Amino acid sequence: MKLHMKYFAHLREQLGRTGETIELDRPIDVAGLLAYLRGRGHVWLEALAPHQTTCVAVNQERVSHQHHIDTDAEVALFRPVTGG
Amino acid sequence: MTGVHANCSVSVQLGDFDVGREIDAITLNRADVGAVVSFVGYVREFNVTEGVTALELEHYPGMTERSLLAIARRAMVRWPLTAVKLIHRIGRLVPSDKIVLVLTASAHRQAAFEANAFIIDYLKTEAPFWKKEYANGVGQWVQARESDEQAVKRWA
Repeated sequence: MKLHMKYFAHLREQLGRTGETIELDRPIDVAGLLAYLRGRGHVWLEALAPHQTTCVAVNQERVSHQHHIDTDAEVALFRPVTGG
Repeated sequence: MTGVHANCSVSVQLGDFDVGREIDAITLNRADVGAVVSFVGYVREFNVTEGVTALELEHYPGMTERSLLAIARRAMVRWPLTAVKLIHRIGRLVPSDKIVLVLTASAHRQAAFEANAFIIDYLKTEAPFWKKEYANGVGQWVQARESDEQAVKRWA
């Protein structure tokens, strides 16, 4: 399955990219996706470490780490928001 | 980047806004409005550090507008409002610039006051905006505050 990733603000800078398309060979939930990305090592391991708060939106709606992701979803990762 | 839903509208924009003109726009020819409450947020020269010279506001185009509309609609379900107007600026801002406007209009002041506080409390914890502050030429991402998380709990 294919996922369209977007990275914002702190994470965009830390990961050195605004987004990418990921191809996975099986369905996955948010926790599984984060584990997959941490598997890339280096900055990924650091930026997405469990002690860091990573917020996730799937198709522009905030979801929990247990959320099951459908193929072709837009998945955004970011730190807690600071608008207003 | 403007979305309109019934008498509720949100705008995410680079440019400044005129509070008086926005109030006039939601009250024009409306004899049922008894009160309008406005909240205006400004860039401060002190926050994470002293001597903030600029602020950069990043957001998630698409999700931001959806999120603001969802918050406004939740307020409209909870209080008898005649109009809600939300404006949030993005891009580079300097101290004393306006960042955000929340207008709530109702027949009575109580609903307008409460709905306004509800909207800004949720906007600060849900809408996907991120601030980067510049001081002495160094940029630093602003961290989310625990007090903002606490503020929304009163509406649960």
